[in-house]
Amino acid sequence: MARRTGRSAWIAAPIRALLQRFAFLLLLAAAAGLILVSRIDRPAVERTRALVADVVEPVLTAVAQPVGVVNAAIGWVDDILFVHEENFRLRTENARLLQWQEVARRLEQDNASLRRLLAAGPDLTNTFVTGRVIADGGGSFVRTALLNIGAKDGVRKGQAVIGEGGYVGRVTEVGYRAARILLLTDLNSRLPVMLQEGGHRAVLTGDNSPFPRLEYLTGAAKPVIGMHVVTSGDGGQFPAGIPVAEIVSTDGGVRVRPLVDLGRLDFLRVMQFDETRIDAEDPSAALPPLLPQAQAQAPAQAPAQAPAQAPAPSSATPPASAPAPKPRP
Amino acid sequence: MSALLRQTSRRIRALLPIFSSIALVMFGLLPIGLPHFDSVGPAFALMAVFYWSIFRSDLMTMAGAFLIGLLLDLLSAGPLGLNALALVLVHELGMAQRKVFLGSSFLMNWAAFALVLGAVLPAGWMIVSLLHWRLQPTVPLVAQLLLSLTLYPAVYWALSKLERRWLRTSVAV
Repeated sequence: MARRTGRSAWIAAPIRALLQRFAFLLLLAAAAGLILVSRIDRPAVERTRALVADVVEPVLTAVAQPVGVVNAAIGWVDDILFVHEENFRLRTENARLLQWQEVARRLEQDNASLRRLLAAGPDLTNTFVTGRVIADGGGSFVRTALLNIGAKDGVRKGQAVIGEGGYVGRVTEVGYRAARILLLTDLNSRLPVMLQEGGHRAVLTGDNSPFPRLEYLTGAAKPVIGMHVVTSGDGGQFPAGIPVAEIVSTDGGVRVRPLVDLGRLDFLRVMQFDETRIDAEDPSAALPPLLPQAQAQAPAQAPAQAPAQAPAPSSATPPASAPAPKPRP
Repeated sequence: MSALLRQTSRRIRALLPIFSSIALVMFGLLPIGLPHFDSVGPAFALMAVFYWSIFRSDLMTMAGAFLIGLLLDLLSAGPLGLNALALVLVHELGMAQRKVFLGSSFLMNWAAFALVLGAVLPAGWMIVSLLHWRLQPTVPLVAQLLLSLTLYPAVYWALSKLERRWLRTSVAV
């Protein structure tokens, strides 16, 4: 644009100032309108976000590598600062785990013999796709992360995301190459869970704080600090028994700490839960996979996205049981 | 030919404020996890828009600020339009004060940034609290405020380097 001089500048300046003022109000109104629209038409907003995420995914994935190095360095410094504390914790934990190992061995034997008695098939296989966290929520009001895997890898809305140690969140928006996950600490997160001991059902409700609340716990339940909380599988979106969190306070509402350090997420696995079981109208289909009905459906379930872990779909024998995500006490 | 080249170079350099802001937006989204802080990131976009709206408001237009905010909104997961609103406000505040700050010291600029930050971030907090009809935790808000305030000198330094290197030779659009 050429510089205006003389008379035209004298006229243009006030008009420009007026436009500027008008633009401010217009843009403010547009932003406010967007906030309202995003409350009303969520699907459209989700589609747009997925599209934008797809476009920037290659850039963010490219820089995720150096970021991983930076995170490792930060973690290293942190580890050194807390090395004594950590050592003490690990020693006590080790002593406790050795006892648990005994228990686990005995239970494994019991389990195997009971299975033989029932002629039950092995657990259904859950297959996983692994992706990398390439961006976080970008603000103090949300707890989300962006993964560099999407529809092309078989990721679908609602699937559970597992980190090192347990449940992290679920998939909420899926693009072709990227997917957004809602962490369990987010304000909008509601997760059906149960206490590991006793199996009392509850809902884990995020509130953007690092310690989500355990709500709707039945009166009979006795939550104790240190007790673990696992997914209950209610709602059928993912299986029961994924480790989620540990109870850290019981006075004034039960609060838990997620087993996964949500501030240091890197590689995460998206669980491709057997959908045939969800689709089946038989109510018993939602029951745990030990039942014989589940065995009959087993061969149909293996999607082809994770060939390393998925057995051949045509295979007549039920797939061998895959290790569930390792619990970290 | 050389005139055309010069003009093209000028056009590209004129986009520098917008591009540097977008780069900072992306940088702010990287999952760099601070230990013991649950996903609190500094408001990089806010710093960039504040800087450019004071020093090169001809190149960082209000529409540009809006679009940067919109991009951040689309890439993050908060309410759509919240960052756009915040950055338009920051731009307006920066523009209103720019005559005062153009000649003044960095410390003055920093103080002004603190004021703008102290107005815009709690306003966003309030809007989100209203939208969810529940008071949001204040710890992340305070953490973000302090983190942004601490990192502003670094961003200021980097952007002023950029400006001196590429925009000093009379880029006018």
